[in-house]
Amino acid sequence: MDHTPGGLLWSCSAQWKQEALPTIALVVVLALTLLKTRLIILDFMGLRNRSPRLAAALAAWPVFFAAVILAKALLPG
Amino acid sequence: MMPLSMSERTDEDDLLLWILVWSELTAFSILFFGYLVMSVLHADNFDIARLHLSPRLASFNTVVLLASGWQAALAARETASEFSRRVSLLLTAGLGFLFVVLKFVEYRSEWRFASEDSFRSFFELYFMITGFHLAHVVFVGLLFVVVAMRPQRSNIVMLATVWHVIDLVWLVMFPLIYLG
Repeated sequence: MDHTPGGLLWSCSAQWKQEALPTIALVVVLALTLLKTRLIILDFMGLRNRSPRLAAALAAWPVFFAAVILAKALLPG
Repeated sequence: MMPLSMSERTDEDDLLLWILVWSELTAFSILFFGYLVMSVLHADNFDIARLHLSPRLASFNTVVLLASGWQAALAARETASEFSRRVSLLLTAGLGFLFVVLKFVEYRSEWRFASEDSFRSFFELYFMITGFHLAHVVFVGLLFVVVAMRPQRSNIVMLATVWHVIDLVWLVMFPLIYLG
């Protein structure tokens, strides 16, 4: 192991990347999923106005899975 | 982009669309629940098996599918000319087929790990879920090519909506399988 300041900094940065990047990527993709559902499918494609209950259920579908995936990724064990 | 006008759609169109959308979402929900339960029961095997996947290629494929969805939205615009609708429909299908090709490239590197005993349940579910999604991409992609020959707006709106739902399923599947 490299104990010079540069080596330690690189090691910390690599560890941060390994630990934090998947979580950041996960959050970004899930945010994109929710945006796509609301802006494209419900608003732009016009599904929101025709059947509000089905549209609400459609909006809830990715929210539910996003919550489960985030919980599974972030909770220990 | 302006939202689509409601006036052209009938109640029958709406009913068919909702049946299509919810049959997709229900089928994939069952598969996702199966995957989640198995990933909790066999957490160690699933975590190790997942290391053999290609998240970079899958990330690139996510961008390809989103670009394809964008083209589908362009094709569904009321103001689009027939020529630009055709171009957008063919680009949607083309990007969808690029997704399929890249997925097969990914499968080729993953296939050899599927026969290992400890990874079998992961890869069975992985190939079932992603393969089912891939079949949808191929089928609806072919329908886009057919509709591009006679680009009637009601057909485009229906196909584009189903395509966005297929995108949505991938956007949930990608973090579930590759990042979760």
